[in-house]
Amino acid sequence: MTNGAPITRILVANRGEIASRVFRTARSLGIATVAVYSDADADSAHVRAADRAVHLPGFTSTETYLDAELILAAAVAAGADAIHPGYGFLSENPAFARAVQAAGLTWIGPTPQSIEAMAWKVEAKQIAENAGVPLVPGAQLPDGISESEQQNICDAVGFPLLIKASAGGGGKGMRVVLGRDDLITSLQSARREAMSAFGDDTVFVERYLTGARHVEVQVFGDTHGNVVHLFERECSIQRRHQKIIEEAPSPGVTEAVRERLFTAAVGLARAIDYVGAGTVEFMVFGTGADQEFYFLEMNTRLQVEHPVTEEITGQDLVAWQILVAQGQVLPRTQDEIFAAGHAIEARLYAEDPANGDLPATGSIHKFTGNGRSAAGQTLRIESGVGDGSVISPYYDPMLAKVISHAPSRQVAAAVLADGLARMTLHGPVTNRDSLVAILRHEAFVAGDTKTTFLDEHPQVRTPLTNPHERQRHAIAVAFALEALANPEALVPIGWSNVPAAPQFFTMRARAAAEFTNVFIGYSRGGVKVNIAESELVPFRDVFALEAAVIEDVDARTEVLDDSHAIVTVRIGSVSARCSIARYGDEIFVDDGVINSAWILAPRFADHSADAIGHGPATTMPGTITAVEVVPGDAVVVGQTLVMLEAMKMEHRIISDVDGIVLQVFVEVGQSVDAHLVVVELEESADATESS
Amino acid sequence: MPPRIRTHVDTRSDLYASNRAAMLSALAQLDELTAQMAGGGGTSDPAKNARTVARHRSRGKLLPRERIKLLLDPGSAFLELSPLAGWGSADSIGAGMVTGIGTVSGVEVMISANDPTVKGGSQSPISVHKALRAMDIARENRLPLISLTESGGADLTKQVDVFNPGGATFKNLSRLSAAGIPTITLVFGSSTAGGAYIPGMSDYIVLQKDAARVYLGGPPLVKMAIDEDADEESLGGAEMHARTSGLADYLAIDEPDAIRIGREIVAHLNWTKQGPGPVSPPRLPLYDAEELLGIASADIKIAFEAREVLARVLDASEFDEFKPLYGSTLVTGWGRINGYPVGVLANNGILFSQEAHKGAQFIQLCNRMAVPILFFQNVTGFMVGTRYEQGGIIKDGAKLINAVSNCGVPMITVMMGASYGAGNYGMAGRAYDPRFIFSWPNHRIAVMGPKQLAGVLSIVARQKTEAAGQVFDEVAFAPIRDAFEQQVEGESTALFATGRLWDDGIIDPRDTRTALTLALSAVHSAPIKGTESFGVFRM
Repeated sequence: MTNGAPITRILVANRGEIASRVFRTARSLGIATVAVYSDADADSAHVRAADRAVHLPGFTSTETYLDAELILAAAVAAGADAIHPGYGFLSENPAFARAVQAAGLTWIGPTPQSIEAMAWKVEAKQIAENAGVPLVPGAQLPDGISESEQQNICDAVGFPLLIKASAGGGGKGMRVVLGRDDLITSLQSARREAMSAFGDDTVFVERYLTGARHVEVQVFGDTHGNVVHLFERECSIQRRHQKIIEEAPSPGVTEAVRERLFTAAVGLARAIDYVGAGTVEFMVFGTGADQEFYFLEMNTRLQVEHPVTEEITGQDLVAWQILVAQGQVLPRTQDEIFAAGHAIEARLYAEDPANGDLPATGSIHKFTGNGRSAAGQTLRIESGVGDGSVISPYYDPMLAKVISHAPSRQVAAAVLADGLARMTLHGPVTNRDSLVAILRHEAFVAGDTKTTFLDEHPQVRTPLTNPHERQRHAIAVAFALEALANPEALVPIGWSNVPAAPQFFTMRARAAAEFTNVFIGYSRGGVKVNIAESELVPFRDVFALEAAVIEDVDARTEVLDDSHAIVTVRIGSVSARCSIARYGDEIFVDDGVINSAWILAPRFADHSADAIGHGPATTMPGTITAVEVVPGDAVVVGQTLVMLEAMKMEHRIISDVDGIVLQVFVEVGQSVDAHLVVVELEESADATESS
Repeated sequence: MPPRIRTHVDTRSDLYASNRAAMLSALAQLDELTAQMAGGGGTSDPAKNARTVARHRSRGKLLPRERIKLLLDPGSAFLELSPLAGWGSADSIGAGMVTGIGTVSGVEVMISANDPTVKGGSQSPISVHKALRAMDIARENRLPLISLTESGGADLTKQVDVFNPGGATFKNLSRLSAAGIPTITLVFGSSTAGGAYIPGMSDYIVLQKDAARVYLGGPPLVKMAIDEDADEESLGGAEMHARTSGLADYLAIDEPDAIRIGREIVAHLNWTKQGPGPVSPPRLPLYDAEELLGIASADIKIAFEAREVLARVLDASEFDEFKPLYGSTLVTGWGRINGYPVGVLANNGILFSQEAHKGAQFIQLCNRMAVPILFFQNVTGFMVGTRYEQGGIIKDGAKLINAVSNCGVPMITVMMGASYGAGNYGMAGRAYDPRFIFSWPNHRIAVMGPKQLAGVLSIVARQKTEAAGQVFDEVAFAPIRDAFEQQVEGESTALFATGRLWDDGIIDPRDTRTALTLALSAVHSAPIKGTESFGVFRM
């Protein structure tokens, strides 16, 4: 055990924003830094942020960031004397913590015993119960019991219920089960996901209580027996049990309950002699004097959302972790910790909220959170990506955390929404619009935030769609494309001495199914702009489209370089400056208020596409985890054919017809690209007749 | 820095207002004609035209200007040539052809497209004339030629006037190829009999599947000639030519695919322009081109200052004038248009001996320095009268015409007012092979002014009558004289001239700088070289 020794060089056994975050504090404390990186992360920002970097060969988490031996070897090779695990990966793995200490290195985290005590959630509940903390009804599902026994246990707990991975967190291996019918398949799927994420498929169930707030208390202990809390955070806005907006303080906890939460959290931490940063999570129900809470779990690590606590308290929690790991006393006593103002964090993900939060992969062309809102307020941005970063299918697709801190909650929300809207985010689809919509939603602003928020307000999941602004952006794109194609034109663009056919550009808003055709006609009287929405038509039909005239349009284009332009589009009395950036076929428009992304249709059809086959296909690159049919099987609409794991999530590839399986093109364990046809189906004849 | 022209135009004067009103009215008439022509169909009956165009579209076919728009780079300018060819004739306005210069895959090319909605794209004598003019421009300026072909062949009702000139089409294609200027033909429909040689003589041939028909003789002719029953596909289908005869180099799925292939062919030409190109960055004139509408005289008997035009056309209105104090009715000097250096000859009235000397000398200088020459014509001719004849006006005029006739550097002419008599010749009129020649709507062209011509006719008639010992009846002759004057007036207009391809198109005066830029850019596709060998300058 070398915890207590001075630290001179920290290896962060993690990636992305948290690695960069830890490096920043380490540097401020005069400590050198070591990064580890997988093949997929070779060019990542966190690698550049460190003084030394060690390669972990491979792509998957299991091969790299979850391989304790490799990471220990990396620490030794790079001369690190301490390991910070970040969050996720090995952060709550007691065996790893022990191995770190056994290797003579300082483990920056709670003791392996504490981790263990809280890792087994059922046992953690027992400890909590003993400490007088109220619990939600639930039950374990021991290994090897029959399906009917499992059902009986679950009946006793009552539906709806929640399946959780005993070893897990972060929503992995978690399933809501509304009734008995879905129980067994959900259990199987949860176990598979748990196994893949944590190497352990033990799951438990508890009653799924809706209408709660998710409130958690940040606690901190040191090796001298001190335990303090740093107030609470509310993280009720969740999708698929994963937090996307977190804030401090909670807008909905009464003063009385708040004090009880602090007492319960500190009491639990003391009960296990907790050292380092931890979070005790609760569910809070009701309002006013009726407000009640239950213990959920304790996370024995630094949380993703720790910055909101840092913002309101002015403390650097990573610094606290490092100091405590060196055996120092907590920097502040409870009486010396104060909260000021309100902080909100939004998690920016490369995923599509309008499409079941489907994770996105691909290159980030441009990522400039300039960290300022329009009014000049500073936003804190914790980012693991930068220009040119590639979002791979192997890890969590979080791009950044954006945090605002203001005297009031209302201003903090408004500033954060504005800052997000103004960020330059050119790359795969993100949940940015959805975050902005949530932060501006009246229910959110009113503090009416429960874990069911997104179900109750599904409109915040769809992109900000204002048809007029979308038209304006399409027009801006068309003018920019024309100007970018003619940077050195000596004569007016599109000039002709005789009325010519209009110039047209066909593009598709990224979220849209329809194509937008923008026609630009030039005459001495000014431009004439028409727009038609269409299926992707062969271009010979484009000129025959019924296109709506956009009245009273003017556009002024300023070319900045070969892929950037500013187009000021006036429609009627209102003009807006649209900033256009082009990356191949992708075009991004930012006008300060609304952002849009467009895919430019090729100018000419690719006839080789006619040769591409049809059938159920992968939606993204990943690994095949299950093949549930064999040739000759009869399948029905909606039946699962193949399971694909991508972005650490399972995706079902289903049949869209009733028919017979002719061929299966994939096998379990196979790595696949997107848009690969997995199964060849023959639609059954009677189905064809009836349809 | 060269001196800048200072304007003296009074934009509040009555003359300015009336000129502007007259020009706008002429432009409105032109716009109407070009819109009607560009709409397709080729007749003066809009309903009939609409039906023809709808039928064409219903077969999934594009109009020629749509084909051209797809072929051109997005945002490329298109300088359409001879758009109103055929005006005033029995032929359709535009003659069922679209020709012009634009940029395809970054290369400036000449495009020559049939309009199949006009008499099925068949070729009248004027169509042939227009096509040959486009080929001349392609050859002189080294512009690759892309033909968008869908034509019923010669207009058989006019075969007498088509047969011989039409033959030159194929010769020209071959000579373009021999000169190393690529010729590319995309066939969207019928291209038969003589028309089959348009693709046949081209370097690259793209045939559209299930649409192109290329054969010397169709089924009826084959039946008549050799008593063979043959279908169209076997005789001239695209697949057959792509797989069997080898006439087609590329088989296109549909019209856009043919155009895509055409663009790729151009992209692979490895084409470079041979001229030196602009020598300085573009700078806008100091004065608004809009004012040209009020400057150019509606009544060409009223002179206007040529420098005011130059001030609205040349870069930064800078004009380095040559011999400003000598021969004042011909303005000569150097300037630039969008960075292209040019020599300028512009009329400020009738030509005298001094002007002829000055012009001939200036043309020689431009040839020495290999600078293209712009002619701005507003000339009623060379001065006549005893004094001038005795002063040797013929000898001096001959010097100017000699210089123009043998000029090696490209000449581009703008007819911005009067273009009468030998003044037209001395100022690089159509017969003197300027690379491009444009006119303004107010322009008048003839051997002399209609009034003068009618007056001359009247005097000659009187002399003839009186020589026969009779009395000339002034009153009785007046209607004849007036009718003749009106006929000449009608035959002197810009529309009449453009209808006969005496120019390459009427342009809006405000577009002069743009049209000249595109013309200069085309000119710079070929090497710019002056001549050393003029004819004998008669001293």
